[in-house]
Order: sequence, then structure tokens, then C-alpha cells
Amino acid sequence: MTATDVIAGAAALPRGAVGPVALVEVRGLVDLAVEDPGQRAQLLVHNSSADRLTVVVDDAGEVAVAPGASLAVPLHATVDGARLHLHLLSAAAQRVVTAVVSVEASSDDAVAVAQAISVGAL
Amino acid sequence: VTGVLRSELALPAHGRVRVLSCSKDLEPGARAMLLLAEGLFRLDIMIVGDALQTFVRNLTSGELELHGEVGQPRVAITTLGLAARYAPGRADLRFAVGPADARITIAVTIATLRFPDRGVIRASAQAIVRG
Repeated sequence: MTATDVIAGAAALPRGAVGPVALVEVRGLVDLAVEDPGQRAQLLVHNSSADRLTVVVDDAGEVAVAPGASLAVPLHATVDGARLHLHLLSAAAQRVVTAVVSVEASSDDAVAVAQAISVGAL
Repeated sequence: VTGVLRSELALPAHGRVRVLSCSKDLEPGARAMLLLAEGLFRLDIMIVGDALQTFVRNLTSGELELHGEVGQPRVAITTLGLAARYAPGRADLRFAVGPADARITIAVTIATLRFPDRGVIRASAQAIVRG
């Protein structure tokens, strides 16, 4: 039986803030966080699993992330802020995650918003 | 608006599965295509109020067989931080297409977020295609 979870996370993202802001945790597989060092927001993908994780990014190709390692992916600028759409694939764990991350512009601090669809036991 | 993202995953015991996904910001009441698998199916959706309506077009010579149902978006299982302000929701749909001797099964999950400041609903869909 395939199990599917939908996970949503959002957090204020002060421009130039020190350190990443956690958004979504897909337990045992991947943690997603975002940071805005001042020029361009980027997504931090941390492989929390014991196996290689393949990250497929819209318009940017495919990258393998080793267990325990992280990958920084810049968000694409949009009229409303910034956005990213990606797949996270683990053949060993037979799991697939689709994630959509955006930074919503605001007169105050921006807000980072993420939603992940996680399918396991494929 | 982002395009359809496609990838494949090779599974040791089950061959390959195809993964399709797409995410669009929609105005309430607008119908939009979310997923297109060439030669297999096209999935459109329309959101009116709390109701999510799906439209599946069968692009194969075989019959379309629906296995699941899509109703009003349910509250997502996990909501973290400030995400509740975006009223996350989900809906699930399963169907099969293709000729009798080579059926293709598709499991679709649609996740939604509402952005009242912009007057739009973000609909993100993921399809797992087997066969």
C-alpha cells in the first residue's frame, strides 16, 4: 500500500537573516529550509536519509546528494517573489517527493512557503 | 506558473515508475490544465469555493477506469509554522488507461494553498505512473 503525505510549512524570512529557516521535514528522507543572504533566496535541501537522494529541479537538471549532505538551489525570481519546483527521489527507500517552494514578497518581512507531496513504499 | 516536471525512478523489484508534477496559481473558478502525459491522459482542475473539480481526458485507445474520488480538499496531514494561514488542502485520484493488455495505472495527489492577498489558489499535482 502506497502512503502519501502532504506537508505544508511557512515561515517569515527576514532579508539578510543569519542562517536558514526550516520549512518542511519529510521524516527520514529530507529537510527543506530556505535562506536569503541578501541577494537571492535559496533552498537548502538536506539529505537526512542513509541513501543517495536525487534532486531534479525544474529547468536546472538533476543532482545527486550523498547521505547527510546538503545542496543549495537558488529560487527563480517571479513577479510575486521567487519560486522553485523540484522532485526528490530515493530509489533505495522507494520514495518520491514533489516540493514547491516560494518566497512571497511583503511590505514587511517576506514569507517562505513550501508544500511537499511525499509518496512512500512505491 | 511552473511547467510540468518529469522524472523516473528505477525500483529494484518493480521496474520504473514515472513521476510527473506541476504547480499553478489559479484564480477561483478558473479551469486549468495541471498535468499532461503525452498519449496517456490530461488532467484539468477547477476550484470553486471549497470544492475541487477534476477533469480527466483519456488520450489512449483503451477505457478510462476511475478508482478513487476527489471531493472537497481535506486538511493536510502536517502543517508547520505559519502554513495554516494558507489553508493547505489535498485531494487524491486514481485511475487507469490504456489497452486491456497493457494497462497504465496513475495515482494523483493534488495539494492546495490559498493566497488571499493575491486572490489565487496554488494547486500542485503529482502523478505516479506505473506500467
